[in-house]
Amino acid sequence: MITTGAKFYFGLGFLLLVAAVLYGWTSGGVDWGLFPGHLGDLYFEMLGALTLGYKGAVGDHLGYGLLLGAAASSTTVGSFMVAFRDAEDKPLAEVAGLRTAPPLQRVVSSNVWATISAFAVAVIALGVAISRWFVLAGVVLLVIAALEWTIYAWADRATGDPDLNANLRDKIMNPIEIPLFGAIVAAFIALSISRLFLAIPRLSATWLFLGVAAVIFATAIGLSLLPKVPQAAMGGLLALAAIAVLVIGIVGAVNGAREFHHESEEFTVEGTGGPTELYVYGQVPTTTGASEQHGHSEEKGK
Amino acid sequence: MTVTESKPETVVPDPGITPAQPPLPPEPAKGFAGILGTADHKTVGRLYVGVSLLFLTAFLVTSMLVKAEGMQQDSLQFLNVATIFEVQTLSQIGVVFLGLMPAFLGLALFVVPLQVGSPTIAFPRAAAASFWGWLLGAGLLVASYLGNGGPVGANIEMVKLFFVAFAMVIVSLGLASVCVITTVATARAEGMNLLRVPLFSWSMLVAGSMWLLHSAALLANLLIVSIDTTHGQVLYGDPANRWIQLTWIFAQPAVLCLALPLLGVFGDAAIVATRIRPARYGVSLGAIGAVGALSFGAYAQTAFHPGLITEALFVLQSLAVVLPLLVLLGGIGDSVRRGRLRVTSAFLVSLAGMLLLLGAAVAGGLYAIEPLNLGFTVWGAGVANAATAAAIAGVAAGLFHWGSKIWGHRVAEPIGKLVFLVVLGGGVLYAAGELIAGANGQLPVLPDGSVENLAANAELGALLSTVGCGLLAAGTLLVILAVLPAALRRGPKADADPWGGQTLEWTTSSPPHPANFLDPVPEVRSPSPLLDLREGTSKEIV
Amino acid sequence: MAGSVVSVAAAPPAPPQRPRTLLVGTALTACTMGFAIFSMVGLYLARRSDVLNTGQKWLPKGAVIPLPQPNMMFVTLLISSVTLAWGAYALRRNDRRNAYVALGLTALLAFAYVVQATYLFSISGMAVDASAGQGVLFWAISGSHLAMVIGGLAFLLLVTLRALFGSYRQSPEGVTAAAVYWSITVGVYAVVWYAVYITK
Repeated sequence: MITTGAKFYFGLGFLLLVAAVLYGWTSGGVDWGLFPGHLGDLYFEMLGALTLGYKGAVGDHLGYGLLLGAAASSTTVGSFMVAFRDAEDKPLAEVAGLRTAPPLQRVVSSNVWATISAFAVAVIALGVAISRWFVLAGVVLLVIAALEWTIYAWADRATGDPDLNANLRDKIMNPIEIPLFGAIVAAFIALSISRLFLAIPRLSATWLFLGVAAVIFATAIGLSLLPKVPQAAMGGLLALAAIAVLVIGIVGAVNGAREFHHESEEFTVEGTGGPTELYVYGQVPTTTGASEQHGHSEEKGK
Repeated sequence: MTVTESKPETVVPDPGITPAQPPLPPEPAKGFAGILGTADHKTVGRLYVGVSLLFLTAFLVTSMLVKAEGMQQDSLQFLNVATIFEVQTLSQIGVVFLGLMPAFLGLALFVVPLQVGSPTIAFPRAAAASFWGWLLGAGLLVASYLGNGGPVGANIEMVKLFFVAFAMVIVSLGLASVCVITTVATARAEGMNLLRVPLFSWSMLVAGSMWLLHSAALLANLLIVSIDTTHGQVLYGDPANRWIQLTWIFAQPAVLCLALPLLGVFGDAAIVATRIRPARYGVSLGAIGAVGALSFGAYAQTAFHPGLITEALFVLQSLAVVLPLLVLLGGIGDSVRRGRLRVTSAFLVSLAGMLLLLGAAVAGGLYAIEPLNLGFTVWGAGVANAATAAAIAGVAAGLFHWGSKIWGHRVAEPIGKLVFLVVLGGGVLYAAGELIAGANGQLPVLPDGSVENLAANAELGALLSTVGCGLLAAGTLLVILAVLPAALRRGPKADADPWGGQTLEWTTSSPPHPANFLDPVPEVRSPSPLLDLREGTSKEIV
Repeated sequence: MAGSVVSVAAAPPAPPQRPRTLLVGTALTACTMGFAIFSMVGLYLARRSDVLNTGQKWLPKGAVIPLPQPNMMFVTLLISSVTLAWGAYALRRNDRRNAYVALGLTALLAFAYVVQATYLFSISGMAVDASAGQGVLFWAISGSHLAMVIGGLAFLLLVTLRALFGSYRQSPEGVTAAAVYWSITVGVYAVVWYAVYITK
């Protein structure tokens, strides 16, 4: 029996197939040299369109190919609809071995990995246009997100107990997530703060970080004296701190490193007598003239 | 907690028993984190609808600016020559891919599971990913234009970003379409075969299928143009050729398929308005399917076959699509005659949409008649404008019909009557401007901002189009105004069934519980299961 | 729950999944991907026809599309679709050992296809910026199909791992969905094989 859904998809497929033949035929392109003595014969005129261009020719290949492709795609979906008997309740119940078919199961856990997957794709998109490093970062993020998403999808259906499912997921993923997250946070803090260290004068760096340490210490004392600290307040405080670290990291990176006199002192490799090889912080060793390289370093420091 | 051993992943089937009702799930997480991590189809649907309405309004305004530039052909008022073509392409993409399609998909993501009696959508996390992918893609797309990209911008990196971001938008919408189609195809309640599926759900199955086909073909174009743009620009990626390869999606017949969900909205709104059991339901389903099939337009790529509009297939298709539209309108007209008509906003606005769509189809038929010499003129843009206006009416009608269900508070019904007038008037003017100019032989704007073969009364046409587009933007703003109080949870609360509806979505509360249905879904025996319940009908009708 | 000792065996079983949902979703997605490649093949054939009609050769100078590799790739895909069907069949009969062998073999064949395809690309000598657009079309089609295959391989590995960890005891729907995707991928390759590699 051809079901309703299958009728639509088969009907669409059939219509597109007829359209393909009509279009392939009427858009011209028949080579009468292949059929001497049959000039104007309708059969030979249509032969190309009827044989997918194997014998004879079709007119507009693009339109013909697209119509045929759409017909094939539609017919394929139609064949699934008929094979599943339109996924009606009774056939599904038979497949499930139940009196009525089970409904779709709601996903109750909240996780952001679908959103992060979309974000990763956006990073890849940006990278395709701007930099391959973005592509790499996006692909890494996408792989992580896909893995997390898969584990969530499995855990959501592991048992009928949502709490146990969440625990199962945590048991599998926490040993991976926590060290990885810790490493990312540590790298983020080290990278951001090191940019600031490198950007400001040495003495200022010392005083600044003494001050920051004092502020952190005072905040911690203040918080410990409070009888109760709301979770949201702590979260907000940490988020602010993270944003502050990110901002100083960006500002430091944009300003570039200060000039390092002790490291930029020129020295000649003894005994070579050749061109001076210069080592400046953050620069690849070159054999260019010392004054030129030094000048570049100063400019960057500004 | 200790895990001691593994267990089969599902319950062991026991033939002859009804599956146990799972315990009610907890309320979804609230706040921004809840939105970011949601897998609730209702939240995703609301997000799609809300953001797409804002995009739609914004891009109708930019579209109006482009039209306004045509009012004084000798000088530009708001834009310059370098940007007018870019803004025009952005407006076209914005209205269709950032406005109308996501708005319909948002409605469908919310309404379709309720209509078919399912507790959720198929692949709920994929639906959520589709929204975020679409939103981020839209952001990158707009950013690419702002960075002098777009299809023909000077900044090649931003041009590349345009192609990738556009592809991301298309893939995301395709993903949402897969979720909606799969829900209609496989998640229907007991007894609901596809002949009993509500018209909107059916129209989304048809529209989603056609959108997937069109999206795939457009992606193919985008990929090839994008690769060639990056490597050599020898043919497809040549700046002069880039945009024209993508324009088939905005032209007849593909553009008609944009308004397909309108047919379902109209059908469902009319059933509620006429308050009688729909007659010849299968014919209505068939008509919607036929309009879908006849709006397949991926083959009609005039960039590769300029003479296509004279092809027999194109002519036949353009003329034939009018018939199923007339059948659908005739069927509803018969119901109106037999029933006790209650003029709801949804019915009025969707009727406006149907008239505009019929106008688009008729104008499309005329476009294909070679002796009229309308081919290559802006008459084709008039057809597209009418179809776009019809789709706008479809979105508006859908929000008036299901708005109270979506947000749980009543949508301002009187504004709907005003929306009917504004959208109908706007749609007619928006299309008429281009049709008049096209009838006088005017050709479309070229990528350098110039116009060949300027028609004698082109400025009048541009004025009409500008006013029409402005009215459509105003209509969209009115829709936002009507639904905003409900969306902000203000005003009187809505009943579960404010219309005396006949389909399953009206059995549940407004807004629905996170599990959609607290009570067991009634077995479906006809296209009007709620009417069956009210009338106590037990026999199978379809 | 925290602190309590709970056995998974003591937990209520997961509610049964609604059948066919994954299969229909997979079929729709794979058909859409397939149609995107068909569209590119349409563009390829149209361009090829235009170039041949001007009396020029289709393949640019220095480019070569040999037959042995595409043929072997086709055979590899055909065999892999048989082994995947074998895996799904074995899982339906709860014959886990045969299922593991079949799924592993399918993944291996899919990997072999990827290796063969990359080798073919390395010897084709087709420049992306070939003057008549041949390179763009060739790379777009063959690259898209390779991406489709890699997607299928990832899908296969996922279901194979899940099978190894004890899933699909009641219903092998995940494996069947992978088989559906894979079959459509093979069908699409048949078109690419004929249109791009055979007719050149």
